[in-house]
Amino acid sequence: MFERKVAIVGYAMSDQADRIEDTREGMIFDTVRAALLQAGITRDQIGTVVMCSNDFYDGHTISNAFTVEPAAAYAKDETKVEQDGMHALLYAAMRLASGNYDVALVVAHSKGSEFEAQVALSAQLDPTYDRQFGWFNDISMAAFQARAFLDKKKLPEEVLAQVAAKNFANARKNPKAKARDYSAAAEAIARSKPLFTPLREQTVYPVTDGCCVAVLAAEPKARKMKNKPIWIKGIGHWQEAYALSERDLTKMESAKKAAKRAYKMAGVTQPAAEIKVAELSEHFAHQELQLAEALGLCEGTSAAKNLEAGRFGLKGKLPINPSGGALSACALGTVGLVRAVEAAQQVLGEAGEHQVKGVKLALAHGQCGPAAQNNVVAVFGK
Amino acid sequence: MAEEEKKAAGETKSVKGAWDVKYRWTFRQDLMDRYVAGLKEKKLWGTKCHRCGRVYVPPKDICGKCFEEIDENWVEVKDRAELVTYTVGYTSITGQPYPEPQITGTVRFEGSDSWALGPIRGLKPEDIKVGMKLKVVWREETKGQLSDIEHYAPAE
Repeated sequence: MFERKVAIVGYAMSDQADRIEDTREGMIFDTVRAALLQAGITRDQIGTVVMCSNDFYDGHTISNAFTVEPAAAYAKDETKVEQDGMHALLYAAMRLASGNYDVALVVAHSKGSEFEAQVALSAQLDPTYDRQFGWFNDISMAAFQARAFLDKKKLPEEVLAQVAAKNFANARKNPKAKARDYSAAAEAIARSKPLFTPLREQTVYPVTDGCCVAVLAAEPKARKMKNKPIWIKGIGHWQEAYALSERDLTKMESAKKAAKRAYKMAGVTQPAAEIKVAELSEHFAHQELQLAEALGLCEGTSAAKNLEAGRFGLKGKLPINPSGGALSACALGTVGLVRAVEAAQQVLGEAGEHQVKGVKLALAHGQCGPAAQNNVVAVFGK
Repeated sequence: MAEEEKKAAGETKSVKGAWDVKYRWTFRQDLMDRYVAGLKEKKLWGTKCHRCGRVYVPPKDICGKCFEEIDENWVEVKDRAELVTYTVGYTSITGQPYPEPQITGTVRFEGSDSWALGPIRGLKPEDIKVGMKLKVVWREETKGQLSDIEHYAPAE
């Protein structure tokens, strides 16, 4: 439980698409400036800055050394996490809850167009057993999880294309998403290039460029800002073993435990009824179904049945990823913060064409590590 | 400025670079030596947690679940295994297409609680099933190296 309540009081995000002609610093500067303007604050009001990126993605060690200035962190208390933007949001919220600062800036960014993503991601693998023969990467590790889940639930591979089809259809209403002009036909997605079965090109995250910024404030300051505060009602973080071999890949135990903590803090006892929209970091199509089950968002026990019944669609009872999710745009390490900002926009009624009606409580999820080893879940509300 | 305009105006330019840092990772040689010495004799050795009894193959010196050191508690497991999950790879880890699809899987040796990762050969992608019995296919002349396990194949 936080000592002081913390809220999102401002936000901005760049296009989550290819921005090859932009410099990283320019992308960050533009997005941070837009967030300060949107929040109605100036740089001198920011107490602390928490960034998220990854040295391997940026090609620099301690890469925030280069991004301090465009992120408005010059001569301020600034730090960086290398997990996901949701982790940055969690740490910024804790810095505010501690009473040391009143306003924090959370800045997540990466430029997938500037590096070989799968080579960089392979560096997360254990160097002794898992890396040296060159058999595994981020996608094949998730493919093991996908196969274990589909097999356990006796689901056909086509269900993965149906997840992507729903998200691509949503992305058509999201001008920021790379997938805004993708075809949302499940048949075509199910025939897209096979990578590691059952995963295909269109059921795996498309690596994009992108920056996302959230302005956080603690009470009482949060109530005196320009925008209505969207409170972090609950937040939870959990992780399990690195080794896939020591996890039950059919379940997402760490996501389940993270959600349990978030729900307890938020006073949510019936998530499937109380949560009105969920933005999940489904880096791979099967993970959306696994997360929906682990987070208790289903009617009954089968996420696939909920999906088929339209419950997770934009007009369904509990829309999942109205923005299009990570399958529609994935700036690595930025994805979770995009989910949090999307959730805040849904509560504010500012989500534009993909707005869900009457959202009181919205959920956002971020993850990192092979096959979603490490998860953060947050619940937002007025 | 729109992307196309920036490009046309030559406002930005990219330079190429690489991060070619060599590493020398340190690991428990006593564990690895014992493990690969077993491989040379076509035997699989793992370590067993004193507290929870979990058997780790390949061996670990710390049981993270119990936060306990596993000290010289060696157990032998069988070189027969069950397929826990698998994937058929159509591209290499860097995205180059394979000439032939490659099957990799996670296998649980009889007597082990953790799984090993590796390639599976000797069957068509459409014939592979979760739960099927596999055997270790050893290199003809084992050398006391991790590559002594060439691959896994159906146990007939």
